[in-house]
Amino acid sequence: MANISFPINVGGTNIPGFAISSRIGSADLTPEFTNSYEVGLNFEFFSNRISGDVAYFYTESEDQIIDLSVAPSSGFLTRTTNVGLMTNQGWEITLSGLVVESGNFSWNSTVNFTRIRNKVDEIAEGVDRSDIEGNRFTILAPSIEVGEPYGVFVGLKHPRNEEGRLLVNPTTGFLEATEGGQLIGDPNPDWLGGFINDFKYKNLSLSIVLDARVGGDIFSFEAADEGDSGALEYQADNRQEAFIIDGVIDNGDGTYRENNIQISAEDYYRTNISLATESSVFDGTVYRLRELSLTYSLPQSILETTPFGSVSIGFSGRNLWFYAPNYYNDPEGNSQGAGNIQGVRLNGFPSTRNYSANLRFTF
Amino acid sequence: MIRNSIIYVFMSCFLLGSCDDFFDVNETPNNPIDVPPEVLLPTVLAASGFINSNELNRFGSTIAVYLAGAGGSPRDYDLYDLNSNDFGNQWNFEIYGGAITDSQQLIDIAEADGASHYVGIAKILQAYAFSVATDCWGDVPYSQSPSTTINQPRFDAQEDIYLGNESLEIQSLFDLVREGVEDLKSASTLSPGTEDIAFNGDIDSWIRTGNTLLLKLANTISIIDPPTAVSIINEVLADGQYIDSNSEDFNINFGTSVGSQAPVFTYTRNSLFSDDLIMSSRFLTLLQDSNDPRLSLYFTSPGGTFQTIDNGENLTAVPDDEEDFSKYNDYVTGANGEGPVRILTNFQVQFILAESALNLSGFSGSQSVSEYYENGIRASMELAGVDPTNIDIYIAANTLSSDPNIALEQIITQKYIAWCGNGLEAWNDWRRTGFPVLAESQNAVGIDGTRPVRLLYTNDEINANPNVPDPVPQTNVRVWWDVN
Repeated sequence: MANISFPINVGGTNIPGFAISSRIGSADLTPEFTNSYEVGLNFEFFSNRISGDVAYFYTESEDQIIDLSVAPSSGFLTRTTNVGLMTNQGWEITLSGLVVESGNFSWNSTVNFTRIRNKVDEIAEGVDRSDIEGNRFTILAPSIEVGEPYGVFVGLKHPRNEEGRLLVNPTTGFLEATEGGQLIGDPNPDWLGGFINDFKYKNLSLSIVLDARVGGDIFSFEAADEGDSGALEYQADNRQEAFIIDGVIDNGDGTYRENNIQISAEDYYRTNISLATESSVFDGTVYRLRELSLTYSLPQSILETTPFGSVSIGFSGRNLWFYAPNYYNDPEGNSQGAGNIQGVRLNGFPSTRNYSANLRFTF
Repeated sequence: MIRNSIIYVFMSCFLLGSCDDFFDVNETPNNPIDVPPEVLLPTVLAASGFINSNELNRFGSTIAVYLAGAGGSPRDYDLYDLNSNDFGNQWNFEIYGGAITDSQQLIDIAEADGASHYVGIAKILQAYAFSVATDCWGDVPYSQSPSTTINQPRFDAQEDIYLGNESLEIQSLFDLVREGVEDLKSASTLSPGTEDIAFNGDIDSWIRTGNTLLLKLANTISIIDPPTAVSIINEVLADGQYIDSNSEDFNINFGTSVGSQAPVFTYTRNSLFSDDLIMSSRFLTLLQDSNDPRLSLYFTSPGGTFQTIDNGENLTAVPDDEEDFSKYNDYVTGANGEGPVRILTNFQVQFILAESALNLSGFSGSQSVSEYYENGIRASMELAGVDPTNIDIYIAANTLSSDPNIALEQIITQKYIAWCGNGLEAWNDWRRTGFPVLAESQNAVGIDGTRPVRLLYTNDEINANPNVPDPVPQTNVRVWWDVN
């Protein structure tokens, strides 16, 4: 909220001040080791009309040096240390082939598929969870946790009953108060895929690149921000109506009754949408037309009388279309820049759509 | 080489040295590994001022109804809508990673140097920081904190923190303060000077501060444990060295330039958040009803009238011009940000003694309840700058009732008015005694629509420390000393 910076000037005197670092060092660091195993298969059939590459890999990383979070009540925030064991395993498959070749027409296609599973197996003695250091906001903690994939989101959850129904406060009609320290999302995708097609007809060529990212959660600050101010499309209707949260009220004797408390639209959305809770976590699945380009090269017969070796004209567009079934916006992009934190969006710009035209001459 | 474990953030340049030999390449002059006590003391003092008067005061001033929340976090505080995202910075950087760790460093360094005056001051400030932590959060890490080797300190019960527990090797807060006072009374190789932004190096003032902290802590437990409270209060009265004039108040002084100013000035006058907090209509009514001459000293009155909002009121238009609304006045913020942040004061002592004289059997003070009560009002009014005639008029119109229940309400309500600007102390007294009687905010939500009686443990702590009580107590669960 407020802060000061040393040296401070009090009563006309400049006063320097020092504070102890929030990081605990270690004199006993050892090197980190990674063991990697990979099995692969390459194949080509029908005079290279179909080729493929299949690989399986398994990687173990031991004794990685990281700044492990310690309880802030110890007076410190992190401890630099060697930590346990993380494993990565996955499949990478690429298939390409000449689908059609007939006269002046050809169609080349490539499909690739990647599926990676990673897991944190051990951290350190007595430590089951640690924040990942990086440029994050304090309310959400991308973390490592034993038995979970790297980078899971730790934040707040509204309590639910045994059947998974949200609990509603009988006094206020709002959701019951959140509980901290809960796993609320995993940013790692189930699989990634790409589908690249090149079509050629005489001097005209067309290239289409599609890709897919299936699964993998995103934490969206903007969804909470915009939802909190009632700016999202689904909030446009019935703003004057009373709302009832879909949840149950604890009768206090092990039974629950259906919530029947009316609240205003504003309260309804404000209590349903709050930062660092599951309500700001979305499935980031997205299918995308990554690139489309069309190129026409002038035939050699026309160029014979000119000084040009070749002339082509092309149009291309990037990021022309996407379909994200579970998010209202483009889920691509990470606001946190380079680093180990994934899937966190902080009111970033959506990815841009590019159109370009080019003329190419060679002499 | 050595000692990555102790790294200081370098903030001035007088420790620059040359690299004498090859291995010095691992020692950065920007992070010296050894500093003298005089550069740690101001850090601890400033952190103590921030603990009392930064975000915890935005919360306290709202929840204690000096102010109403018009936007941002204070709006949520006013609706009792707290969650574990709140106060992470206070826990991480002001309390545990601030005053507590740096005071420990000061204790260690000063003990090695034989600078017992610094040791004494550091112990008193550390005890104060721990007392704020336990008063706000209940059971908190204490006996195992701070530590570079215990990364997940255990949570000690509030009762053990206040009273000590030998079998668990927990030293009581009272003993920690007593040790500090003893250190201040012993010979010291070094003594603080101008870097002591509270007392400019006056050791007698620090001894009074230590003893007055004992009074405050004893007062805090005086309802749950009257015998212990009265014996400590009598011990301090017998010693006689405690704050009993306004000039002896324990204040932390800040500067008038940006970067040196008191936090309450920054968030009230000089930040993006300065419209979050506006004077509460309820506090205005309370002071107007008794023609309190402190009103215009405590709060600004733009255009000559007090512009207030009610706690939890539905705002049709969020105020966007701070000049239009009443805010904390210079008494609280300082005209240019110098504060002071008032931590322990003469008026507080007088009201503590009034309450003790009223409620504690065996209390040894020499004056009557009503004398202490009037001392308290007079001290507060003189501090605020009310002229003597008006003080006499006010006291004559607000004499103490002979009914002890009404008298307690009067004492604590007057203490509350006197504490204007220090929401944390007002919240503590309200939780402990139930006074002043505060109606709930409009539109209150939170756990059950009642005013919070504790803060929620923070996410960072929950994530990193398996010793955090589970289930986490919600804001309607009272702390140990809160029995009313």
